[in-house]
Amino acid sequence: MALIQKELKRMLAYSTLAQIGEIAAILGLGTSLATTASLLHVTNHAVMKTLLFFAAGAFILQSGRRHLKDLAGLGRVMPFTAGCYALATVAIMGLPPFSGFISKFLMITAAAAAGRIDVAALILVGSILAAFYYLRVVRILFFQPYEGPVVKEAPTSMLVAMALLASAIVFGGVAPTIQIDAASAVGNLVAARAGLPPVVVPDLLIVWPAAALIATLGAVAVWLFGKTSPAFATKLAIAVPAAAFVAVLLQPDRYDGLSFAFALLVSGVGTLNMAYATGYLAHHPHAQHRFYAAFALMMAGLMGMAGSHDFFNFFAFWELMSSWALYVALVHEETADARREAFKYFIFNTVGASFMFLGIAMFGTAADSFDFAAIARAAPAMTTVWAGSALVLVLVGMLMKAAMLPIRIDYQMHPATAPTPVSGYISAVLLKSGPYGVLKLMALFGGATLLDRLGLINGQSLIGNAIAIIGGVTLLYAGAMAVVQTGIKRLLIYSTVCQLGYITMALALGTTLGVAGGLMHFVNHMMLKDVLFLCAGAIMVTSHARTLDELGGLGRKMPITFGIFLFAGLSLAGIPPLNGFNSKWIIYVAAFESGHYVLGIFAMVASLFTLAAILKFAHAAFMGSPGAAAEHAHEAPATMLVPMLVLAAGSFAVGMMPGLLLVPIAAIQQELGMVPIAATWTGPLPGAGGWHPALLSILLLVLAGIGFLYLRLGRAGGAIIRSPIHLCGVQDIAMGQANIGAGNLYEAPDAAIRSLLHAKHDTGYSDDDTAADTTAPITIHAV
Amino acid sequence: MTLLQTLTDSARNLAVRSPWIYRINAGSCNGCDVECATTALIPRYDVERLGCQYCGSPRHADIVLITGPLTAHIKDDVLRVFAEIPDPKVTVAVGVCPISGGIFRESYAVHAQVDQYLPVDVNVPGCPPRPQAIIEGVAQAIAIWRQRI
Amino acid sequence: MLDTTTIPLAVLMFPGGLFALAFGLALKGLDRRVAARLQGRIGPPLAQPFFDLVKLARKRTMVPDIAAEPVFLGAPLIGTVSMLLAAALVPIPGVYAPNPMLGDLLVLLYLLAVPAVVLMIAGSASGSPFGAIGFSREMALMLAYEGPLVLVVAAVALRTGSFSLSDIIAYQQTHGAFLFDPVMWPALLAFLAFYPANLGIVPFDIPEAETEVLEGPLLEYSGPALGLFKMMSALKAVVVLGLGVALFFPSAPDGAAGLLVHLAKLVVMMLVGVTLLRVSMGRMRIDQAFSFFLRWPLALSLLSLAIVAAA
Repeated sequence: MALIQKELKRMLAYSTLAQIGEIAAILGLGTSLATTASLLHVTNHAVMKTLLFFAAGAFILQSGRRHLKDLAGLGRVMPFTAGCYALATVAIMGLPPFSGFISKFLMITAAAAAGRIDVAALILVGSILAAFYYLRVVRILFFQPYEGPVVKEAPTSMLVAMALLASAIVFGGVAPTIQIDAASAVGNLVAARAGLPPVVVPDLLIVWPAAALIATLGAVAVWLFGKTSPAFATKLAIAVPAAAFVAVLLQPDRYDGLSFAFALLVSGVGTLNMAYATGYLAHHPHAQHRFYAAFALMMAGLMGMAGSHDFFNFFAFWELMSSWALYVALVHEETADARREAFKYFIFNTVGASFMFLGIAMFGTAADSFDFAAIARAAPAMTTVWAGSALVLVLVGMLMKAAMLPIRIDYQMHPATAPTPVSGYISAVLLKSGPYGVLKLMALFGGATLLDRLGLINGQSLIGNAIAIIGGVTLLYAGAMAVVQTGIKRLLIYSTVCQLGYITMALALGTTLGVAGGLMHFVNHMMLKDVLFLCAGAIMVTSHARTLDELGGLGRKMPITFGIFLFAGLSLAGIPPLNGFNSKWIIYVAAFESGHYVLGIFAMVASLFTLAAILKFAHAAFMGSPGAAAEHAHEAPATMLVPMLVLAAGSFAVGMMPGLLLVPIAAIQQELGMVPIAATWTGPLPGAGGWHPALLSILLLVLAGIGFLYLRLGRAGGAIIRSPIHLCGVQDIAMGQANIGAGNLYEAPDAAIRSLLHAKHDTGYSDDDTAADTTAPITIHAV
Repeated sequence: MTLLQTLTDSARNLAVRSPWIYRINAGSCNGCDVECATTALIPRYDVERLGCQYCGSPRHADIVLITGPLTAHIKDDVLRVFAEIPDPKVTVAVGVCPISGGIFRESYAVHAQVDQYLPVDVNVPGCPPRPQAIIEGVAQAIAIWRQRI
Repeated sequence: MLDTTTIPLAVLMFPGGLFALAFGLALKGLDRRVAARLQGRIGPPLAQPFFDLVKLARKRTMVPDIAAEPVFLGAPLIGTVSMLLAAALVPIPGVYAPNPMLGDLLVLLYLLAVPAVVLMIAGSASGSPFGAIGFSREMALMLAYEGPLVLVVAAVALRTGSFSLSDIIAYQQTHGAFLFDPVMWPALLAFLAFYPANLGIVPFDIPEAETEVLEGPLLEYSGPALGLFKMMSALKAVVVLGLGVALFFPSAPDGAAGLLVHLAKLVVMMLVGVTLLRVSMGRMRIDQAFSFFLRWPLALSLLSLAIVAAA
C-alpha cells in the first residue's frame, strides 16, 4: 500500500504497518533469539520512524507541501532536515552502517535459526518493495531541481531533536552492543519463563579495518569540508584512498593473501581514479564533494569486505559498497536518465544482496557463528540440502554482482550515465567483488567440505562446472553484444561483462592453472579496463559526446590518449605478447587442459569479439575523418593523463614480466590450499608450453628496429610528405561527411548478431534513440 | 663510397623493373582506356612481363597514363590526383586528345594541351593508339624513369 | 634456460627472418607467373615481388594530413614484424622445432590475427573512407573465418591431446598424417576454405578490392610503408601454409631432404589453393563471403570437432 501513496505522511504510516507486520512475524516464531531480534528492531524502528516523521513534519511545516511530487529538490534548501531524512531512510532500509541493518540482520538470522526460511524470504521481499518507496522520496528530495519560493531550514529546536535521533541511529549501527545486551536480557527473561535455553546472540559488531575506517571518516571529512573549503576538500579526496592504501600496507596481518592483494588494488586503483575524477569534474563542479565522499565510501566498503573474517562483516561491507554510496555516486549527473538508471541498478543490487543475505543467515545459524573458519568447520556436519541451498544463494548474489547470465545484463548493468571515473571504477574494481567472493567461497567450501557433496561431473564439482558454463556463455553473449553497441560507455560496459565472464569461468574451473589465469586476468583487466574508461572519459570531457557516431578523428588532437587507448585495447583484445593476452592464454590452456573444449573455444571466439568492439571504438573515436567534435578537441589535462599513464605503465610492466603477478598468485594459491603454479619473478608463463612474453616483446622490438630502417630507406631519407586523402579528386565533400560512423561499420556481422540475440539499438541514454539516426554525419554505408 | 655507388646502381637497376601504372581519365571518350586495358588483359600484349602492374591507388604509381583532352569540368580534379602521386614519376599522354585536343580542340570546354599543366614525358599519339604503341610508350617511360629513380 | 644462440638465429635467418621473407616473395612471384601462364600470358619474372620491394624503398613516403602519423606508419611495421616472429614459430617437420619459450599453437594463432588487425588499423588511421570500408570488410571477413579456424585447431588438438605443434607433428608421425584420416577430413576442408580468405586473394580479396575500394586500407600507403605491407603478405603466406602442413601433413624425412619436401608442399598448396582459385573465380560480395563462412566452413569445423570428440 505504501508504494502507491502520494502523500508523504500517509506513505510513512503505511510503511510503519509493514514494519510492524515484519516484527510480528518474527515475534511469532517464538524462539528466544526471535524475541530479542524483534525487540531490538522495535527500538530501532521507533527511533528511525520518529526521525522520519520529524523530518517530514519539518518539510510540511516549512514548505506547506504534503504531496510527494511537491517535495522535489527540497533537499537543496533544507539540507540538514533532508540529510536526516535520508539517513533514517537508509537505516530503515536495513543498510549499513546504521542501526536498522543490525536489527534486520538479527531478525533474518532468527528466522533462519527457527528453520523458517519462508519467513526470512518474505521479509526480504518486503524490504525490496520498501526500497522502492523509501528511495523514491530521497530521489525526489535531493536529485531533482528545486522550484518554488524560498524555504528556510527548520527551527533549531527541531534540528537538535533530529540530530539526537540521527546520532542514535549511527551509534546503534557502529556500536550495537549496549542495545543488544538490553534486548537479549529481555529475551532471556522470556526464554526463562518459557523454559527455553537462554539467547546466544551472534557477535554483531562491525569490525572496521584501518583502511576502511580511514576511507569512511575521510569521506565524511571530504563532504563536510566541501561546503567550506572546496579546494582543500578536493586535495583531501585524493589523499583519502592514498592513506587507505598505506593503511592496508601497514596492516598485513589483518588480511589473508588474496584479500591483501585485493585491498591493495582497491585502494591503489581508487587513488588513481579519484585523482582522475578531480580533473574530470573540474569542468562542471556541481556537488563534486558529495560525489567524492560517496566514491570514498564505496572504497571503504570494498576494503572492509577484503578485511573481514566473518560473513556478518563481509555482508555489512558488501552492502556499504553496493547500495546507497553507489547510488549517490551514480546519480551524480542528476539527469532524468541518471536517476532512472541509478535507481534500477540500486534495486538490482538490493535483490542480489537479498539472495546473499538469506544464504549467509542459513550458514550462520547452521554453524552457530558467522566466522568463515567456523562455518567451514561446521559445513561437513550440515545437511546437504541446507548447506547446498545456502551456498547457491550466496553464489547467486555474487554472480549477479558480476553481471552473469541468465539474468539479462541490460537490466543489471551499471548505468552508462554515471560519471566516467566511477564507471571505470565499477567496471574495473567493484564488479570484481563477485569473482573475488566466488573464489573465496570455493576455497572455503572446496573439496569434501561441501562442493563435492553437491554432485560431481568427471571428478569436478557440479557447482564449479555450472559457474564455469555460466561464465562461458556470458562472455560469448556479452562479447557479441559489445560489437553492436554504439554508445561510448555501453560498448565498454558490455566488454567488461565479457571479461568478467573470463575471470569467473577461469576461477570456477578450479584447477591450478585456471585459478592462476583467472586471478591474473583479474588484475590485468582491472588495469586495462580502467584505462579504457578513463580514455573514454577524456573524450567525453573534451567533446561532450555520448555515442561513437558523434566522434571521429580525435587521434591527432589527443595523441597520448589515443596511444594509451590503442595499447590497452589491443592488449585486452588479446594481441600477443601484451599482458591481456598472457592471462587469456593461461585461461585458454586451463580450459582445454581440464577438458572444457567448448568453453575454451567460446573464450577464443569472444576475444575476437572484443577485438572487433575495441577497433570499432578506436576507429569511430580516434581515427577516420575528423568530425565536428574533433575541431575543438584538445588533450586531457595532466590530472587525468597521469592516472592513465600509471595504469598503462603497470600493464606494460606485467606484460613484460608476468612473474610480477604470478609469484603473488602462487603464494595466494598456497594459502588457499591449492597446488600453486610454478612461478618465478622473471620466469615464463606457467603450464605446459609456457612461453616468455618478454622474450617475444624483445624480439619484436629488435625486428621492428630492423624494419624501421627499411621504412627510412625512402627517397630523401624517408622525409614525409603530408597530403590530403585521396577522394578521386572530388573536393565538394565536407569533412566528416565521408566518415563511416560506428553504427555502419560492421553491417553484415552487426545484422547477424542483432538477429541472433534480439539486440536493440540502445546507447544507455533514452533521449538518444532517435537522435542517433538524425545527427550522425553518415553518407556512406559500408557494404 | 664506391660500394655505396655500386649498391645504389644495382638498386636502381632492380627498381626499374617494377614500374606500376596508374591511369587518369581526363575526360576521354574511353577509346584509349579500352586500349590501355587491352595492354594488361589480352594475353598477346601482356605488360606484366615488363613488371608493370595497374594499381588502383595513385599513391602506388610510378608511371601515369593520361587519356582525354582535359575537360574544364575535370581539370582541377586531375591536377589534384596528379599531385597525389609520389615522386619519382613519369607521365605518358595516351592518344591524341591530351597532346593536342584531338577532335575536341576547338571546344570551349577543353583545356588541351595537357602539357600546359602537367610535365608530360612521353606522347603516344593515335585515336586511339594501338596497344603496341602504348607498350612502346611505357617502355620509353621506363627508360626516362631510370634516370629519375 | 633460454637458448641464446638458436633463437636469434631462428628469428632472424632461418626458418624465420630472411629465409621466410625470401621464400615468401618467391612464392608470390611464382603465383603471379603461374597465374599469367594459366591466362595465356607471359607474366612477370619470378623475382618480381623482390623488384617491387626495392622500387618501393626508393619512393617517397606520403601520409594523409588527417592521419595520426605514428599509428599510420607503425601499423605496417608491427604487422611485418609479428609475421617474421610467427615464421619462427612454425615448425618444419624433420628440420626445425621452435623453442617452446617462443610460444605454442595458441600464440601462433593470435599472431596470425595481427596482419588483419594492422590492416584494419591502417585503413582506419588513414582517415580515408575507402580505408574505412576496407576495415569494415576485413573485420566482417575475420569474424567469419576465425571461428572455423579456432574450431579446426581445437579439433586437431583434441585428436592429439596437445596444443604444442611439436606434439601434433609427433602424433601424426606415429599415427599417420591427418590428410589420410577420414575423421579429420571435415577439418581439412574447413582449413582449405580458411586459408585463401586469410591470405586475402580472389574470391576473398574483398577488403583490398582495387576496382571497388581502390585497394581499401592500402590506398593511402606509398613507398617503404607499402613495401612493408607487401612483405607482411608474403610472410603470411609462408606462415599460414606452414601451419597447414604442420596440422595436416607433416610427414617428411629428416635433414635437407625434409626441408625440400616441406617447401614443395608449400608450393603445391600455393598453386592449388591460391593461384588456381584466384584465376578461376570472381570476387564475392562481403555479405556473400560472410554467410558462406558461417555456413559451410563453420558447419564442417563443428562437425569435425564433434566426430573427433566421438572418435
